[in-house]
Amino acid sequence: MGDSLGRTEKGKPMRAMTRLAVTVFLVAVISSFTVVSAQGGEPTRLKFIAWNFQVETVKEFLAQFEGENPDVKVEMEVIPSAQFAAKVQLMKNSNTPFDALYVFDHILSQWASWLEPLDNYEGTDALKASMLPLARQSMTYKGKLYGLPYYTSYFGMVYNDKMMKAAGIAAPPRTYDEWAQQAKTIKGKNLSKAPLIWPVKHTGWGGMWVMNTMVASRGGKLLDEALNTSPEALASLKWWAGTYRDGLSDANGIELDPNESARAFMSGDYYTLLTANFFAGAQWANDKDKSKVAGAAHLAATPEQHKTVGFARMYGINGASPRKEAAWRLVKFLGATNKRGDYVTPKQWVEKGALTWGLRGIEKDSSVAASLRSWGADPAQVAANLENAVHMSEVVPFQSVWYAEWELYANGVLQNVLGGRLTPEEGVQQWSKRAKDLAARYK
Amino acid sequence: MPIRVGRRRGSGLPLRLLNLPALVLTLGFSVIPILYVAYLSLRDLRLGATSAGGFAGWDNYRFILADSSVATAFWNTLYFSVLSVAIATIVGLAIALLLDSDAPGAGWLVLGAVLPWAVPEIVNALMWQWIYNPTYGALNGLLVSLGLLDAYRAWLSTPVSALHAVIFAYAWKLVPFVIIILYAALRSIPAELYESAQTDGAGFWAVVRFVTLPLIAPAVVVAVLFCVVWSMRAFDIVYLLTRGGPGEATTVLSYFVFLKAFEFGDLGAAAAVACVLAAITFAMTCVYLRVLPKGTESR
Repeated sequence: MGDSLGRTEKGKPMRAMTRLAVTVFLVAVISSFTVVSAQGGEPTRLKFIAWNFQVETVKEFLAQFEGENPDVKVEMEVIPSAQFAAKVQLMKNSNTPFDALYVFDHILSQWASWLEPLDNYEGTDALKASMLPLARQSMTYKGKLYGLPYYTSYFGMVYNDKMMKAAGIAAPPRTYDEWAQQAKTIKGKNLSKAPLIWPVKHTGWGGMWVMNTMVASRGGKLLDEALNTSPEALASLKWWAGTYRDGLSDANGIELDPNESARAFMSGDYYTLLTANFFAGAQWANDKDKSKVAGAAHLAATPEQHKTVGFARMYGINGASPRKEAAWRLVKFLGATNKRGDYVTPKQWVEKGALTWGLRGIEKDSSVAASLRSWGADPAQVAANLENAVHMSEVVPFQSVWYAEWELYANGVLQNVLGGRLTPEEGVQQWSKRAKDLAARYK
Repeated sequence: MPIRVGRRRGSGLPLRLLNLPALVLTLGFSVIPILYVAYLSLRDLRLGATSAGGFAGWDNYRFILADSSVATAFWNTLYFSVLSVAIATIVGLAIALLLDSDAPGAGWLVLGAVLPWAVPEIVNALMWQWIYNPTYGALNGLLVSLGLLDAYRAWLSTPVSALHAVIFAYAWKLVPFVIIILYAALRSIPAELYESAQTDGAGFWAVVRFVTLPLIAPAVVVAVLFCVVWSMRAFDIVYLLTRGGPGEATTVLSYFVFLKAFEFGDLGAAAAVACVLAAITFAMTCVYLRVLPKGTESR
């Protein structure tokens, strides 16, 4: 079929091809102009909100990010961690602009309404597949992912290898009975007045974190769906109270927070400390300048089923940010990989902060393995413990709006049980009743 | 010719206008916030919620009245207040009497006694934190070296010792105020009254009982009432020393309000507790105004 000028259909594809080629050429020229103007013009400016842990290290990371992304500049605002949640909430309520930020997992349920879900960003599916269960659970709320991991931490047993060997004990305990027996042996040989020290202060990572670890290590939940306490909870509480009754745990330590209990352990007067894994690091128990157990403080798995609880800190994006694409690049760089696919910051955090990772495989890096070994940890065991760790929400209703209030109350009850002012049975009853009262109040 | 100072007809409005800045400040920083807190106490409002909470009526008040933690905080506050004020008053009175006796070195004693008043609350709390420390605390060191204690104790680890440790630390800060008030009152007593009493054969205790105490009673009332109102609102010492623990042993109402509002995010319930605390403090102030000697208010 031909047109009125007798030209055949054959000419049309040719002209179409020519038009296409011209269009592609023009698009390419315009695009290159756009890129040039973007590169030559004002860079995208991101505001990043962080708390005050190793600020200089974070600044180094941001400089590395800017080096890799010359079109983005990052301004960091540092808030003391104790005021972080309240200050960020005030900033949000007053519509103060910011783009990316640190997020606590315990605050995620309150902030999910304004944080940006990351599920649909490029590369998220692959990152999710490599995330540890602990990291994924910590950063997910109602099925949506709200962060990439800054670090994860699990509760593990730090033990004094020197004291253990002096007592003729071959290996750290694998059951709770064995743990108590070892403590009795050490006390019997006058190697320690009270071999066990715990962070039991009623605020912060207090006693209930240890309690939840013990319950998880027995394979149970502390509160079930109906908010009744489990047999594992009662068994754990009875065992723990027994160590105080028998003088195996230091009664003077009942008001120690995690930092103070770690310092007490560093005095060399104790056999074990159940706490967040980074307290075994080179900045704490294995600090050659400050710790009397440096080189002898080793990290072991929890007894019984070796399960434990943990938590994650994450990088998130403000849902109201108009610069989400650049913010995503920053969050991906900090929480996962750079453009070459290298885990830049997660690796360095192991060395610089004894902070463990949220994405599998990082322990295989030679520098990471060397850092872990330097503080008496077996990289494979740390990786296994991280794999075995579950988020607190698997043991207690951690993401309920009333959880923080319950935990503070539960810590007080715990102190009363450990101090002999309540029986373990009364303690678990009070935990359950309080949980039910609060759930009814905030339903 | 004496200058006449009196109100002239028509000068009332300009003079009242001079009160305007004070009125605005009072409204802005006292009246409106109080009313706003009262309003919040009637709403179901969570910190971090994206929308304003609904009207809750008296639900927040019903909740806090049924909450055992509020009851504990109330009794802790009452005990804390009564004991700290009692300690401060007795010790303060004793020191004021000593100062008034013109004993040698009394001038220096005034300086030493008043010093704690100049110490900021936060410094005071940190200082007592060190004193009570279970590992290197000065109190343990003193008691062990005197043979009164065989081993160091964790004073803030048991409910009874923690509460009394906090009370003592707070009372220490109150004492200078009591001294200042009572010492001033003692100095205003005419020397002739003491001379007359001594002429009549009164001994030291009789002079104190029948001359000194009746004459400084109004000052004692003022000091006690101020101290009670302050101690009902004590926060810093609890926050820094014990965070309300162990358990809820040292949780007082003002600290409970902080927890409820900023740790647990329940602004409605926190506002309700704050209103109850404000009502108690207001009642104390009314008592103060009632028992204050007539004429004092208008000076």
